[in-house]
Amino acid sequence: MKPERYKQIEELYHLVLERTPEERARFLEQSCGVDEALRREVESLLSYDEHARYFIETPPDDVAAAMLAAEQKQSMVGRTLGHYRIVSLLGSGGMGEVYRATDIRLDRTVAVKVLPYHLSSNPEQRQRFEQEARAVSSLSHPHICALYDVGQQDGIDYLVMEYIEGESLADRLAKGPLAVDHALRYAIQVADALDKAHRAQLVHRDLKPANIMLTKSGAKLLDFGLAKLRVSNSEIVVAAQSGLQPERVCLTREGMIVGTLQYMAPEQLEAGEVDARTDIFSFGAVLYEMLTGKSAFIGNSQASLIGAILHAEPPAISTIQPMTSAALDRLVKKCLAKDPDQRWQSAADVADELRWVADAGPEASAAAPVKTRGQNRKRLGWIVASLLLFGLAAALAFIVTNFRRAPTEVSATRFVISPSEKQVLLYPSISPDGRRLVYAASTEGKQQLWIRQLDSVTPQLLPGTDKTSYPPFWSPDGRYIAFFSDGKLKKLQLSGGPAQSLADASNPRGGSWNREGVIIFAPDGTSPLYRLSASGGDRTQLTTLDESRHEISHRWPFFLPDGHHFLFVARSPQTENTAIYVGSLDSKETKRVLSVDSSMAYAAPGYLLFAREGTLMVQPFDIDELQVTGEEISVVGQISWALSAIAGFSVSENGVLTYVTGNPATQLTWFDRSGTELRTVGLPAGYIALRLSPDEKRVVVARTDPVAVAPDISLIDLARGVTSKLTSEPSIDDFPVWSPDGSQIAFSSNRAGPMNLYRKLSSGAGKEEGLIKSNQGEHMQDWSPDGRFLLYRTFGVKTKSDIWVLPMFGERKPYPFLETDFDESFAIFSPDGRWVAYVSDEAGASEVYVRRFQGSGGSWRISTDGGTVPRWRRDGKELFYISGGKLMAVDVKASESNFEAGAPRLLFEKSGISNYDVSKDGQKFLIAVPVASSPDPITVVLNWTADLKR
Amino acid sequence: MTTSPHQISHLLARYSNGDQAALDQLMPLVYGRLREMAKRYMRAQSIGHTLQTTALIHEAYLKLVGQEEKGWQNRAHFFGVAAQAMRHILVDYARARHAAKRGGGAHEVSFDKAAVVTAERAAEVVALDDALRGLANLAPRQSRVVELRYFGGLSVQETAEVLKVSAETVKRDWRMAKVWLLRELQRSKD
Repeated sequence: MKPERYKQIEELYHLVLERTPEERARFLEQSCGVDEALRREVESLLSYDEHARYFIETPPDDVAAAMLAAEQKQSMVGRTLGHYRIVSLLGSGGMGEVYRATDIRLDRTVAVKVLPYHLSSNPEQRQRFEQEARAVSSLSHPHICALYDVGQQDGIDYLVMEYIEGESLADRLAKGPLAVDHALRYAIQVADALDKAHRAQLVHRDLKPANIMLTKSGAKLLDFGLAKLRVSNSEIVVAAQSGLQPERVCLTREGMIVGTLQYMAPEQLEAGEVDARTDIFSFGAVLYEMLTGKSAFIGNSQASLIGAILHAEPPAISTIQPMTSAALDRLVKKCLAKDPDQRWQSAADVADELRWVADAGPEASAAAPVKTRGQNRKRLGWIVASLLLFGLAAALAFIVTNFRRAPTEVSATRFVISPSEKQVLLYPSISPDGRRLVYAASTEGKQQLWIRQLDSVTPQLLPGTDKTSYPPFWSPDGRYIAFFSDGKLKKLQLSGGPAQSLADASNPRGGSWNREGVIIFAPDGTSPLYRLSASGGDRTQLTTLDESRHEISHRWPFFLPDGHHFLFVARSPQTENTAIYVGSLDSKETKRVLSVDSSMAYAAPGYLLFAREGTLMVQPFDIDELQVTGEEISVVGQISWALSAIAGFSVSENGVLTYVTGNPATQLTWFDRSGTELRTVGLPAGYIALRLSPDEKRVVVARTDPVAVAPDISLIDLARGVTSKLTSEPSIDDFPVWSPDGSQIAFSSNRAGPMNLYRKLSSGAGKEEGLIKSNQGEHMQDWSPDGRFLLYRTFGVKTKSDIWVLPMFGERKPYPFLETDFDESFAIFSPDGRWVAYVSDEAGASEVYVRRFQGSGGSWRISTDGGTVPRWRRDGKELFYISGGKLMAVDVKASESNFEAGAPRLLFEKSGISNYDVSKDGQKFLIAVPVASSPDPITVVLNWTADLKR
Repeated sequence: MTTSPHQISHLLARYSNGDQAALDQLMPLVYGRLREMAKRYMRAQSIGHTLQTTALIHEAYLKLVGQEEKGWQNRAHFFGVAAQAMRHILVDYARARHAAKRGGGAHEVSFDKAAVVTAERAAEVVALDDALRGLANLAPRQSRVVELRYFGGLSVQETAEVLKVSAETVKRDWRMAKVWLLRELQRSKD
């Protein structure tokens, strides 16, 4: 084809597209005349037009990612390390990459394993490792992969090993279980190999299917002693459970902990003594899997897997593979005994026993008598496990039973409570006696409270707790639960009866209950604390916001054991004045305890727990002096955390800690007016603010990703779903708004201390420009349609939160727009810039109002039953707002002097919505919808302080 | 060797004035930077980042040319070069990958899920590159539009800036090129 012809086709193609489908055939016929080929060509293209819509719209990022990963590894190929020339990459895993190489001196093929840098950078570890390697290289056994050499060149550490052709047992197991005779043959070979190594005082430490190669001449055991090179076992466990700092997580991820954990013995997890019997446990787990094709221990998280290894027993092999003998069952079970003393004491014994089983065939029913001291108890566990189909429930029942019997048990024990179906579990609150857990869960769009006995499997719904928000709290005797729902503080007797309202709490921030029946609570996000009798009556103000510190809120109160002193968070736009304080029912005085913005709890015998940067921390706390002493220690990383500074944990008086990790994510989703989901945009993240660009091609969001606690501002291209970060400071960046021409984004950030206003080009180019610098703190609200004014929310001492105007011309001197004794927020200009919709609590609850932007005049109330986040349709004739998970619409009509609003109509209901924006035509809504697909379980730690003493 | 933003700006300016030799100097610099950054993205992947071509190119621009650069023309030229670099890098890889699969001689075992790119995906990229070469003979600008939008991850507006045409023209080119290429790919499969 010639370019001229292509041009002709293209022009006609575009012309045809302008016609309606019905007109097209006739139009083509007229245009092409006798040129049949031209008509066919265009028709053929037209048939692809619909399919081409999404074609190549997204760059091949997956290919790029794969390429880079491969390239890094391939870069070794062709190099020479020592006298080994690297030929090709064989495989890669957490312990490094394995290459096929040629030994130039001996002209034989070898395998070279290149160790990741971080594993060999510690000189002490290196020395230990080399010692170990020397010992391993002296081993010669037909079923142990020989280690020939260890070397270092250009900072690269490598091992030279026997080159083995075959398949790893891990790959083989991916296809299913092995035939019993094959499994036994390989098992005997591995047991022999272990015996040889154990006699040379070498422990494998990391026996798993990936380390066993199946070759023509039988099984070969790889990587003897290499596990020693890793971070010590106790570190692994702590990191695996808690996450700690990101670096640590990375390290353990690269160390392939997840895979390894599966076959680790209890003493390895508990950082106990490791010896030959440790390998026997792992051997048992591998043999179990060879025979059944199933893992001996399972858990849907690392914590639950650890729980299973420590406390659960797998179902008998014969229940999965009926062809296996009772003797084999017992043999494996004895390998898997929790206590090393109860296991086979040598690999030679195991090998002998295996030979006996193999010879006897499936009829073997009575092997050498197996007696263990704890047999009865174990037997019981076994039965319970089988009955409950070996679930977490079994582990749970077992743990709790043990815990009751031996409350002084020295080690901490963890287990998890997984949500059923698609629930998101929030705000775990453990009872004072540590035996019951109340938490919020959303089911079918309702967020309600559930209670669960720790030793029972089924949770129970607490009636009358619909629309609950923020953590519930217990009465000290454990008979009542207090909670917030529907704008009220309520209490519920757990033995039965309806929930009773105690006080208004429109936007609550926590409460606490003491032994004398006094409840203290924060009814609002901008209030001080109030006190109230648990039996009812009026509330009275307890604390006073300190003007000198610009305090805007007291929240998350927590009674100390004396029932008179309490901890709380005082928040100020000034970061240095945001801290945990201690107050008292008996005096007005408060005392600063710790500079941190987080809910907190005190736990006996003297610990303060709180979250810092998404990590649960503990610091010794002197209950007499009311001050922290000693250092803060991290307990668990990535604990769930919200901007209101509520951290997802609770602790009982007797050492039970519960927490939720991860933050509930939201997914940006388009809906039509009837609430039908149209499509999703971008990836799930914690979207806390969003605004569509004036051309509706992009959306600017404030969002937190799973690792960053502080939100940043990002732009999402709506057509392609591609997200690009506009800000990436460690500070909180929030409340983004577009300039009317879409070229700039204005937002608030606390990068210089208080939340101040900034703007930046939406192209991402250039530096950010500060707009206002003050100590009060400003939250960006909106940019006027003519580009001349910004509205922002600020915090007056007497007048709570107010709305101010920043002119973007002249001297840029701000002036108040709404400065009342009430709390005003969510201000947004009408499309013609003459009106402002906003939210105020002047009538008690938050409602949507409209008033003129300039000149005087009254306000018109728009919402009738609570309302927040108003948005205008672009023609100014309809207003939208949210009321308790419902999206509402109101017809409005503005004239020169008057404003009329119709009755609010319900468009649709979506549980948990608080952030959205609307298309110009008012037909489509982009909503941040909570994602419930991958909820995190609640982790329960019994005797949690034991971890601190280690 | 490190190259200052100033040097890069200078090379971009020369290239924009028609100096092809400047492109030869620029390309390895852009390659190198893109690759280095992409590796960092790969390492960061486990803590929540995913590789995005478009983010990569924008960041490479900031790193190499710097925020002080005012001329949008240089920025446009940079994007043009970067998209071309990305195309070369990716297609070369996809071709090698594709060839290895066809040869059947690859013993590569990868336990690393992220590194596994399906043979079909590689084949797609190769086929698209072939079709794009064909298109370059018929409508060179359209093939550039695809290179910039697909391999470079540029927006319509950015593409328009690079090619010094209107956004409308880019949209027209994009629509035609997509349908043409899709048909070519479909035909080569049949």
